[in-house]
Amino acid sequence: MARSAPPEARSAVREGPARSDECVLNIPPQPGYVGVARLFVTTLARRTRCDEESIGDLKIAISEVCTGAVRAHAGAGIDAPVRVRARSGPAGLVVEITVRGTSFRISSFADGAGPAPAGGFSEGSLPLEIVKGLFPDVRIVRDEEGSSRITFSVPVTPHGGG
Amino acid sequence: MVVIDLAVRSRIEGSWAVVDVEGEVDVFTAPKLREQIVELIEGGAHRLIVNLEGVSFMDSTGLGTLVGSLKRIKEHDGVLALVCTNRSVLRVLSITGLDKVFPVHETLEQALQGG
Repeated sequence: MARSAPPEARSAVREGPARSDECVLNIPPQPGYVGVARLFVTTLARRTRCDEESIGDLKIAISEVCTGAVRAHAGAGIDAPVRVRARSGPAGLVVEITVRGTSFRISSFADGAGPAPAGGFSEGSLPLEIVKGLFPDVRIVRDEEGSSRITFSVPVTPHGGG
Repeated sequence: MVVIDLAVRSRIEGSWAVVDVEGEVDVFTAPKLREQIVELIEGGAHRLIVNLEGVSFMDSTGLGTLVGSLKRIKEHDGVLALVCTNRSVLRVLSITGLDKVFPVHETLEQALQGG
């Protein structure tokens, strides 16, 4: 698959007090960069020796959250990047996505919660339910600035390989 | 700008229009898939198989495209079936309950034999 990205999306930039086992990616709030976030996090997950099944789930979750984030930034006219932070450790990978501003509505992220009813369906996405189904430990909190942080973790396999 | 590849091709197999999709379907690439399917439906193809065997990734934006396509084709009393064995795509279909909404086949041959 051919991919090219500008330098600001390619580099894993450490911000401020980031720890040595932590990588941070800031993506412009544009749809074309959601794939970059997937690539970034899945590459780190492989380095952390998460199993392939978990990495597949991670790819979905990252895409869902970053899509919502990009839409929230764009909808609010926020040019600031969406921040994707991934911290690896013995237990696995902890991923945190920060969405600036107050436009990221948890309720709309969860809009259409629950599976599509048989015979009925909605064209709207079910991002939060998908992420919850894949990573039950997902947490969404608002910080003092009103930004939203979505966090979940990907375990490493007991024998360290996938 | 990041380039994410998605290839969408269509062909006729008997009474079916088959849409072969290759690559990753997400918020950036889904419009390309949607455009192709809409064109087919509006052009009179009301028996549609979307072949996802070449899809390495799909999230809910891609599912939304399929759901929208299903709604559109049902307005013409049409049928839309999927071919998919990719674990990741099947997982998203299952979590959202959409595996009960779309006929999902393991092979194109099975889909072609379907109603």
